[in-house]
Amino acid sequence: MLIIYTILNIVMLRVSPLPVNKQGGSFILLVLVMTGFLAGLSLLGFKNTIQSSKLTAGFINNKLVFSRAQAAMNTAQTHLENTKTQHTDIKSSALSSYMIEKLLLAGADTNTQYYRVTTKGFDQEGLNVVTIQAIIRESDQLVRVSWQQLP
Amino acid sequence: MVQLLISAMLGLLLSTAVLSTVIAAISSHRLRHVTETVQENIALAEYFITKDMSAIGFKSCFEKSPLLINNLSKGPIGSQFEVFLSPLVTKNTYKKSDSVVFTTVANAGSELEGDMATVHAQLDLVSSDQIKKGQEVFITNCDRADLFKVTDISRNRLSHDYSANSDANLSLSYPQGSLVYPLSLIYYKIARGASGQSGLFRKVDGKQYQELIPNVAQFRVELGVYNTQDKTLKYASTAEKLVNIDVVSVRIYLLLSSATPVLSEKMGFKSFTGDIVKAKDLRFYKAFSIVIALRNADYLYNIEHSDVTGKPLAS
Repeated sequence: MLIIYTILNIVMLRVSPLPVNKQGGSFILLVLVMTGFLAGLSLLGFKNTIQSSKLTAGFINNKLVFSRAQAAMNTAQTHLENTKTQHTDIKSSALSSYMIEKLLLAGADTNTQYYRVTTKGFDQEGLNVVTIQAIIRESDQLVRVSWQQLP
Repeated sequence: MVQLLISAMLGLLLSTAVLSTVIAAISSHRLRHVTETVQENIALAEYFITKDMSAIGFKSCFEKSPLLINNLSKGPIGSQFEVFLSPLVTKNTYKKSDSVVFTTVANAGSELEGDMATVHAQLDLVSSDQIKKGQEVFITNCDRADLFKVTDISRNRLSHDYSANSDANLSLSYPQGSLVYPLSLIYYKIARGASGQSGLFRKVDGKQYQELIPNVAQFRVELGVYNTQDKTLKYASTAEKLVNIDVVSVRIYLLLSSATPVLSEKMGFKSFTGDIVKAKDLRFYKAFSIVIALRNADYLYNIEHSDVTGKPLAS
């Protein structure tokens, strides 16, 4: 930059040699100070905006991840409806995963079977993870009998 | 001379414009900072309250009324069992706010590794990482359920002695695979915080209260009670005589403010009753209301299965 500036200066002086500059350069100094001040203010605002958008993104991500875990729960329930899980079924994707465990417990009615479904939702960066666990009863139809969010 | 006057005038005009811009930027920055802080506090409160309250009424695979749980524990949950049935809301004189206490399952459960030899035998678990000594525990085989206090833990083996329980005998020799969950008692209230202003405090089990968010002017709680007669949902600050467990949601109202006065004139905000109230000082106020569905309320499952005619209660 300095080299380009020097070359331009020499060229300009040779093409149109100006009379001796009598100005002290105070105006340009003032403009420079003002520009610096305003730039500082803009940078401060910029920094604040970045910080707040990061926080907002964190909260939004958490809700999004929760929705993914909840969607995985519905997917797991559909999987249970379609196929009989014998012991454990695990399915994983980039943004969510689920695990279905057949519980040893059986109801008073021999046709009743219980399953424990654990689902996880992730975000793209892998910073947020939400884990949900539900117990599902299978008799005539599948019924979700309990729900909890794990830490 | 004229040039000097013109330049001085221009300089003054420019300086005034710059100064007014700077002052406006500073006050706008301060106000934005305050609103952002309040918004972040709201998000934080929402995160904790929703996470804590969503699992109220958790009974694992035990689908009968919680009144049929064999309560043996002499601990805080067992000795005031109504807190297991529904959140307890108390009205306080401080800031005309409420405090709430409820039971929830914050951690994952475990399973019995083998059958219990007798009703007073120790419980061998697959893992006891989430269960601590002195904690109250819920055990069920889906047909029967017991609530007891853990008197000792040794190598995934839980003891339930007479010292902390009304009886050392459980209602059943629970079979292998029975589910065991640690229960937690969670409290919320507002009190004077470290800054001198009132803040929202949270307490888990026997630990100390911790300030969750500062500058909370009011905290109100209402319970959403389902009326089986006319099939409507009504909100009440306290649900009296909760013989039938028909609380299906909780409405939380929080009034947050800035730490210091930042406004040039008093602002209006929405009160708990929905009216617009004018603030008493120049602080920034933000009212926040959230309805949390209790996912373990049976009525919600009926909705999920498009059976809104069914009772919201387990029989």
